Amino acid sequence: MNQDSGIKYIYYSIFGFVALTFIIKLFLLQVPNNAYKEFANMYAIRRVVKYPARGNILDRNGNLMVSNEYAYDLLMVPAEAKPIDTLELCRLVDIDKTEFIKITSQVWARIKERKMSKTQAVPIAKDLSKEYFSTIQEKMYKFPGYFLDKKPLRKYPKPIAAHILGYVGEVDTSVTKKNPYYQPGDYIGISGIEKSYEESLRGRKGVKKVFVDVHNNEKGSFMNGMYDTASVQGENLTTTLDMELQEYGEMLMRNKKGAIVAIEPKTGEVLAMISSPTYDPNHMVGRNKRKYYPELLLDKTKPLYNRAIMDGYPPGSTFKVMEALIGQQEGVLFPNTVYPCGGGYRISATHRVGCHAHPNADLRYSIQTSCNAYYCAVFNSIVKKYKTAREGYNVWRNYVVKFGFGQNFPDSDIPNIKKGNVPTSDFYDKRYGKGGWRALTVISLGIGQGELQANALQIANLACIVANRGYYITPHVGKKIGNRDLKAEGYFPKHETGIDDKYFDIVIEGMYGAVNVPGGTALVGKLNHIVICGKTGTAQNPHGEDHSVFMAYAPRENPKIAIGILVENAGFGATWAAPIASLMIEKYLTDTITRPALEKRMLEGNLMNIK
Amino acid sequence: MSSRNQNIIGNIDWWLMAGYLFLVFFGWINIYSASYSDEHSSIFDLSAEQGKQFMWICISLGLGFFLFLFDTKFFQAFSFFIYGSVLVSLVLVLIFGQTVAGNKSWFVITSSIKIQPSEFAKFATALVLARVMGDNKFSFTPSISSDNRFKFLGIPFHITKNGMLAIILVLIPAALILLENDTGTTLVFLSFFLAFFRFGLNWIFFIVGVISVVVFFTSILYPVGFVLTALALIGLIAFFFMRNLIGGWKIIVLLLLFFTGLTLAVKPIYNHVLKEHHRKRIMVLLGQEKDMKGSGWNVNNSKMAIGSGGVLGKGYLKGSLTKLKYVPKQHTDFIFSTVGEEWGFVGSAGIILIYLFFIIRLIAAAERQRSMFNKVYGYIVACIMFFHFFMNIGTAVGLAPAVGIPLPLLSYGGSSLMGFTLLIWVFLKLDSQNLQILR
Repeated sequence: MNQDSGIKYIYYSIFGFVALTFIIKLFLLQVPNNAYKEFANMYAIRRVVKYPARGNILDRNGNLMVSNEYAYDLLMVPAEAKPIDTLELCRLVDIDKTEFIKITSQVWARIKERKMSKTQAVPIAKDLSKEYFSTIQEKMYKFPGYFLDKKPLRKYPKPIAAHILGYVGEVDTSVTKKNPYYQPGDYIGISGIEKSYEESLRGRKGVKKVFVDVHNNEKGSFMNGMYDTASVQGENLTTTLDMELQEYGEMLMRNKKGAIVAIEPKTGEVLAMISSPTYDPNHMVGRNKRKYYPELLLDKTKPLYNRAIMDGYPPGSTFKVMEALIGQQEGVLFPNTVYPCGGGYRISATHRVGCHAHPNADLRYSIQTSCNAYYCAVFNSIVKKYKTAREGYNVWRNYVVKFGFGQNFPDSDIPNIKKGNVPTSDFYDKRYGKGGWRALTVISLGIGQGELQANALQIANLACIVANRGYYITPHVGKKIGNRDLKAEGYFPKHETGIDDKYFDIVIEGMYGAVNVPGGTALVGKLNHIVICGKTGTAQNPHGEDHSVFMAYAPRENPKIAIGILVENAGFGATWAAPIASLMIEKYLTDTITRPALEKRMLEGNLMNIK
Repeated sequence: MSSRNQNIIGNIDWWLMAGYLFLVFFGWINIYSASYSDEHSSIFDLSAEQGKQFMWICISLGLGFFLFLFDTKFFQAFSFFIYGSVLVSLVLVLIFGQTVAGNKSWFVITSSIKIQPSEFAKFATALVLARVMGDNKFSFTPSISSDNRFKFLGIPFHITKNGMLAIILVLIPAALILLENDTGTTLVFLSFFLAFFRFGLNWIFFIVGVISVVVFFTSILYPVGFVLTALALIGLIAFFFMRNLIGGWKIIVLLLLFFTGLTLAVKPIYNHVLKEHHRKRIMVLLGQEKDMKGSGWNVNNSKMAIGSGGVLGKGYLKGSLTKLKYVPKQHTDFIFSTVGEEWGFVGSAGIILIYLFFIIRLIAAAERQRSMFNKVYGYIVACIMFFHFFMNIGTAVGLAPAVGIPLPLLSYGGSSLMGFTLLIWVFLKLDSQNLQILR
């Protein structure tokens, strides 16, 4: 057997058979014309991230508020980049040659430090408009390793509602570290609705692999897109905003500092949220942003700041409406309660809270005329009902918080609402010592001054509570995502204030009087065909001219709109705040303006330079 | 003894030597292509794969010349010692070794130099088997006349004690390597059995083995009933041809029982014994699944790259998919895809023919050996080479499951290159002294 060499032929045939099989297989793979052959001319596979268009944002009537427009980024793949006519490319994309050299040398430095891969595309110029695209695309063959990538950018058909809509910008490294979805350079909603509905609006980005030939042309998808992930279009968001009202409010607030919030009382739907001065939201997009954003940041009037939901000012006399309700609920105030005014409320021998001279008031009349002395007395009586000032104050504060003050509506979809301030009893304990204060010490709270801080949203919400006779729905701006009704999904709950229905009659009567009865503080806002109930206020401003405050709702029966408005440095509430609110109400309810003279005065008013 | 016979240079099989040098050199330039990058553009860059491979080639050649200094008798005398040392290192690597890509089979010397003792286990096992089977009294099956006791139903299936020893000597390192979780290298030990048939192991085992593989895969794909029916039909046909052979029907009945049992066992083994990644590889191989993340991705991309090469290839260093690092592990297990892409059908078929030539030449050289030790050793080297060639290129073209073993002499890797250098150069040395052995 050991000398037998015949067996070796069995081995030869096994080996030969395998080799032949391989050669046949290779022949089948390599020689006939098939899909594999297409690869022969391919130069590169490029991984392209497909950014879906963000969902559109619509107003409550289906009008387009935010849509998208395509822009182009010029990207470079270092591994494929060849020496090019830099000057020509720079001219095409309108960037400085030195800047271009700076960017590319940084890229090469990072590659050298092995911080990035050579095959990773890096942006050289961003957000080129469509007009650039057509001219550059024709010449791309001259720039191997460079390509244009299309991406959607936000577009605002009307330059309104910048604050509440918010803006979209490049994601922060703090986010990319936490959330793997986001890659550096991705866009994310940074403020407003864009932020709170980010996940619905953004959709899901996809990745596409494409072939690129030696001439730098895309040659279709790689392997029929087997490895691609489709991008999913963002969902459309229908908001509760009314574009016309928003636009009108912004017009009225032009050249004034302040904020207006309008809410539909029954639903808590925010109809308009105006913060002035404002800016054109288109200025926060793409190349514009680089130009305008620094200006906006430096502007002393703080146009980027959403005054409607900031910490705010003392709510002033609008607070008295709530005071009247708490007093009644606590059983220390009745419709026929009369407090002497006499031009003010004596706190001590030397101190008094001033008031304007008017006859002694009952409850209705106290609201109509906004008597300071009356509400000092009411506040005093609420607190005094309890053994200690602390206990009484806590009871009072509890009500105030239930009215939405000193809180930031955590159920709301409006991001970054500030709480304002309703001091706790601990705060006064600290300031005056335990037991070192009583109702009179903090009496200015009774008329909405002192440490109190509230914003237009909270004041509008107070008007809602009165309109609803005791409750409010969390104020919100989202109505529908796609076809999903957010309220039906239980997003925005109802909040009771704990005030009985019956106590509202007299308060509403007073608010009716303030606007409609001669002697009322807001008579200037009276409308003949719509019954408005309102309450003026003046927020004391230690730094200058007082701020004008007004809250109102209309119509009196079956209210459709509630408004809170703050106009900075505008003095008494009736001069600016009440007329603007009245015009807004008229615009919203009737869509026509019957008082062109008043409208003209409001539109032309310029309070920007008053301090 | 004539002086010609003492002239080692003159007695070297220069065809094998040329084949060895060609494959090593061709491997190196293809590793350069597969690992090419702008940062490492020199073929001698020691921080890149091509440079390291160059270093390994130099070391291997040095090792080869060093081996020529030994006398043939050294390898015979020290075969058990070498085998024992390798077994010890295989145990040590299980304890102290490092896990690289899921295999706990590496001794790490520096971060860039790692040694895989399992690559040397093949050499050691080949030597020890040559020693055991080279004994004049060695036989797998006792002569039919000598002993009837071990006949089972009259069929000589049994194996002698010496034969069992040879099998066990293969199984011990194979088991240790399996413990390292290195399935690919474990499978390589099957190649020893392929060599055994030359030395008296009944070919029926080979046929049973091949049919078992076929039955295994068909049982996964088709219902048990179908496979059993097919087996029964084949059995009937076989019976028709073999009924006149002595014990023929018994063999058929026995084999039918065996394959029936195997058929019934396949599904439970497949579902419960094999691991998820094994199942995936099998499904990909059978074309049942496109596992685009794991091994399917590698194999598919390898086929793509090879296919894109066309008849003449894209040219050396011009393989776009190679440049894109499109095929994973392209410089190691998938080096053949670089060959396919850049050298085309002509080049890759040429490489297959060179391997075929090399392996056949090894067998032919083994056959001319006067010493049994040399002959056994030569056959084993040829069979190991063949098994690697079969599994590696089979994987690259999508005909064999991806088990992850290197292409001999071509793939990147110091341990692999040195392992094959040992195997081949020791045989070259043995062969060069063949004529000194008196018949």
